[in-house]
Amino acid sequence: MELLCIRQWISGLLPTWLSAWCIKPVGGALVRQEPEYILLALMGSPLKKIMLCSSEKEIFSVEEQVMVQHSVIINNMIEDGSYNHEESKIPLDCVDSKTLKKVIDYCTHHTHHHNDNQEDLEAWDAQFLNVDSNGLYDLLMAANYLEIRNLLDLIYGTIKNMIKGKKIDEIRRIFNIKDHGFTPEEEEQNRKEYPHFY
Amino acid sequence: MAGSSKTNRKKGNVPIEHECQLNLLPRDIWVRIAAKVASNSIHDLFNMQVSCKVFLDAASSEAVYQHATMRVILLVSFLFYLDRSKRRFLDHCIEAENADAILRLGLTEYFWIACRGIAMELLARASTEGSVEAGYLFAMLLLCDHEDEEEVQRGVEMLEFIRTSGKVERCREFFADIFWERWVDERPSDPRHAVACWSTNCFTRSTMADVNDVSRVSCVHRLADYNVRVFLEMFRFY
Repeated sequence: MELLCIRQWISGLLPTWLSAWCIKPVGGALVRQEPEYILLALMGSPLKKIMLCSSEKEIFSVEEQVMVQHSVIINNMIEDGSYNHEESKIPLDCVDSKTLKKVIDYCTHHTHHHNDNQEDLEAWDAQFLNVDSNGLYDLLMAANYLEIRNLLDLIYGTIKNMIKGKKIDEIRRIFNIKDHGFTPEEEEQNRKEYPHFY
Repeated sequence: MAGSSKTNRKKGNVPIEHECQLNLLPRDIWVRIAAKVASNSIHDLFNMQVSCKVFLDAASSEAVYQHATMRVILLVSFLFYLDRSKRRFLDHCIEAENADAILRLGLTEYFWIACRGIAMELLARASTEGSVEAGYLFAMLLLCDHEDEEEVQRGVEMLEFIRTSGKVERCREFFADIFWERWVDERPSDPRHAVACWSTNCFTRSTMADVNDVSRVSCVHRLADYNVRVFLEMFRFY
């Protein structure tokens, strides 16, 4: 409540034209940020937290700014007022605790280290995605659900590299494709048409 | 990739091993991944298509063909000799308005099939879809063929747009690679005289050959004529 009053007080003091200068990245796009939040951050006020609830009902407390910058879904919930800081948790029934923790780690790291040099960020990303295929799949589902564009692009690139230069049988093994869905005739036709791909 | 959601593990009596687990991800995710694969290598795309039906469906979508790279498709005259799978792939890309694929077809139509009308339409289309190289070639051919003043002026304007965006050199290199020591059945007309600049007052008109730094030349029509000369030098004939 106290923070809300401070915010309103600051908002009343600031000229409206200042809003035009206050932009923030959200899910890969730039959106306008309320200048009073920027000023609060500069003043060193305690950063707002939000509560995320995994499918296993575990609660994770995260800086609001971290998730708002990266997740379009969470940003929209905060902006349209459907999330009440005092009472609410954001339920993420599609995301288990282990995956949610990783997603939060990714968003937190990229918020606090966005000025690091590109090589360091890429090395961190490579280490972050050093997971088994189940883990990669779960991260992809979570990133898609939360609409975290940067993380999605990162995972797409990783999967692209998993396919790169591989023959068909290798791709089937990597993606655990036990039933490829082709009839025996179709498979035979594929083998005739692309013999060097097998 | 054997992931599965918590929800699916809990419900249903269908044994996991008989489901296609790739179906657990939304189709549009696989489409986006296939588009990335296609923008890097069409061989990888073909492999993906033939791996399973889920991949085939995703990797055959319009978004994938629109962004597929043409880098490994042999250019121009060799389009005649593409195998069935590459030819089919190219046709899909053209249908999906892949600018690079349309450019390649336009090149073949002009220089090897000698269908100027169709070629110019294709090049204009590729240029509209964002191919700078197609825009450059279209401008050059308008200036070389100089059928009427309106076409010449259009060529000058298109070339000037490309020139001011700093991409002329890149376009020249692109086509130099294509035409270097490669026979063409139909070559652009060589006007042998200035087409764009008819001004008798233009002080660079008689000195273009001596100009070492064309950035100092302000007459856009003279620059267009100069670029036509450079373009025609790319064609070598045995």
